[in-house]
Amino acid sequence: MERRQFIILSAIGAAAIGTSVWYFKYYNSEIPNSLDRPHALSHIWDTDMISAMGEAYRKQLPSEDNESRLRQLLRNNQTDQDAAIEALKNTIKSDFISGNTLVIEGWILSQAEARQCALYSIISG
Amino acid sequence: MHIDARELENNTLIEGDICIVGAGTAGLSIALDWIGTKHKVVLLESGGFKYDIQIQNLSKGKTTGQKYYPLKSSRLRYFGGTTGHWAGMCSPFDELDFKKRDYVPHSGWPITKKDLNPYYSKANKTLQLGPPNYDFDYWKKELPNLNAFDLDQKVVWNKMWQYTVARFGELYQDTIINAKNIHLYTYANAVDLVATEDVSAIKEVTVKNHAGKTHTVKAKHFILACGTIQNARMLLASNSQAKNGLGNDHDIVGRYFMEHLEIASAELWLLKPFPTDLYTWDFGVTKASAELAITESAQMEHKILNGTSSLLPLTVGRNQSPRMETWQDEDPRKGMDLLMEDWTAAAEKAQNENKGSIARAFQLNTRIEQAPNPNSRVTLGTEKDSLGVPRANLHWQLTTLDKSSLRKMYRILGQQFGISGIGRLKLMEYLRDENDNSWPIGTNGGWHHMGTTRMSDDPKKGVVDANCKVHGISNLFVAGAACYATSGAPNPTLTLVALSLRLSEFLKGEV
Repeated sequence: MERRQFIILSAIGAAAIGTSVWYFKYYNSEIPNSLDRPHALSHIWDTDMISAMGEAYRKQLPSEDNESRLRQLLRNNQTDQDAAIEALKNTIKSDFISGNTLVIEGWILSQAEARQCALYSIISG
Repeated sequence: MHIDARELENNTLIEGDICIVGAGTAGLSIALDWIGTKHKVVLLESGGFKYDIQIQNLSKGKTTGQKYYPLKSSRLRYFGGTTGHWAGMCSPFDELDFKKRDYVPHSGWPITKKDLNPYYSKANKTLQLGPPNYDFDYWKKELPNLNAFDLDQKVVWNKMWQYTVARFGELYQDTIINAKNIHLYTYANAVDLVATEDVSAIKEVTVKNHAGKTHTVKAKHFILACGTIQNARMLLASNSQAKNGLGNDHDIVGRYFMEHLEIASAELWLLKPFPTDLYTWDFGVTKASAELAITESAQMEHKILNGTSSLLPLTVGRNQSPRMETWQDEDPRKGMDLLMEDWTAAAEKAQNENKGSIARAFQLNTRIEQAPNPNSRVTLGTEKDSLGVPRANLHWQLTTLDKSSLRKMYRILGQQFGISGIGRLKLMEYLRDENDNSWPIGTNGGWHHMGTTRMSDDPKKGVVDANCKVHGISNLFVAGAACYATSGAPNPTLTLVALSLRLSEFLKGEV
């Protein structure tokens, strides 16, 4: 309506949309690699959130509410821990490609990373 | 030339070659195109050059169905029309938007994108936009830091937008007034279209104003350019010779009202920093930016409507109130003030909340076409306005296809962001349950009114033909988004100007 109002909006835009600065300020690349720590999700969630999501997964799929079962699924026949973790990255991508995803509390997750959360929630619980 | 119709003697006869009813975006685009021709153009404007409460009250009406903005405050009724406060976001329709899609009932236009392309170029000038190029690759070379997310381009693409601050009232007032062959009449409200005895042509238009004057306008051709709701109202209210209103032999006038659903739909949480200016927009500064769009082939595969998704810092988005709640005052000036207050407060709150990973999270806001729906419609109310014309009622109704499209769109984006390793998506609560067809409080419209005199070659399926001529009435045309058969993903203005300019050229061959 009034041009001044759009100038205000413009200023809001400038303040609110300076995203590149935020990115660098808050990015933390030090995430541990392990079967029970979903690497990608650890960039956006803290451990409490990972645990909560893991619990939600276990409720959604009670047949997997078991540490050894989850480890077995996540290892996917890999005997070497590092190899299993490396293979997991590909599995997560494959899950998204094939649509092997699920929605937990609104989050669209690969099944493999959801299992990682579940494992973490058991271990940390 | 400018004439204030309140100053004319009562019962003045005004004559011209063409008569344009409405000096908003569509009407002015056509009038400008006729400057310097040998033809006399009569341009009728309901109001004057500034906001006038008495005139704005003429747009009042009731709404039912899906919650909507007050009709009075959803348009501006003076010279320049709603460009008086619009945001100026422009992008052309996609080729898909004109096609018939089996899973979208009532889709398909009698024209293609190709038919509009030359007029899109011209419309870019009328709207004071940049070059008529909406390819991402072009703009990436033109502007710095337009880095795109590395998503599968067979599924997601960057739909480019351009921005203008053009307010037609300020921009074109002098040009129109100084044009010798354009006769602008302000305070000239069309209240009735009078047809010939056999109702095959329009003979004259009756105009009135609050000074108690009534005038008659005769022309060879008449163009209704009053906006989607008022165009339908005008046709329906001109019912002294045709019981159901003009052009309404098949009960189509007023039906298929469409909006763009503009609604917060998901959160995108980026895993890593991704500096870019591609997905942000700063009013009056940004020349071009992009929204994430689903490709035609992916839409067809998933049977979804056409829509785009824009990014807003999540901390800002979470603090904003739904526009459908904020903009409920009958006065559009107050509506705008309240909206700006809300956005300012949200931005201030956000500054204190940008800590941790949320600082690289975004609210994904959808803009998606509404499936054409005959039950979403404008009708006449029982109450009349101060000039004796029945008011318009709007019943806005959405369909299950609208909801399922929205849900699937974000499942696709969630999948693509997962594949790319860029981030993860969190769906808003109303999109999580496959069987939930309800709509949340934050279901906003874009103030985009479309479709009440839809275009079709078949008079039983549309009000106007491919040239925007009303079926069965030889000299009556409709300009603007009322003619849209489907609403497309982008804001309607660029396309409605292009379509109006196409109509303008057609008429030049007729007069």
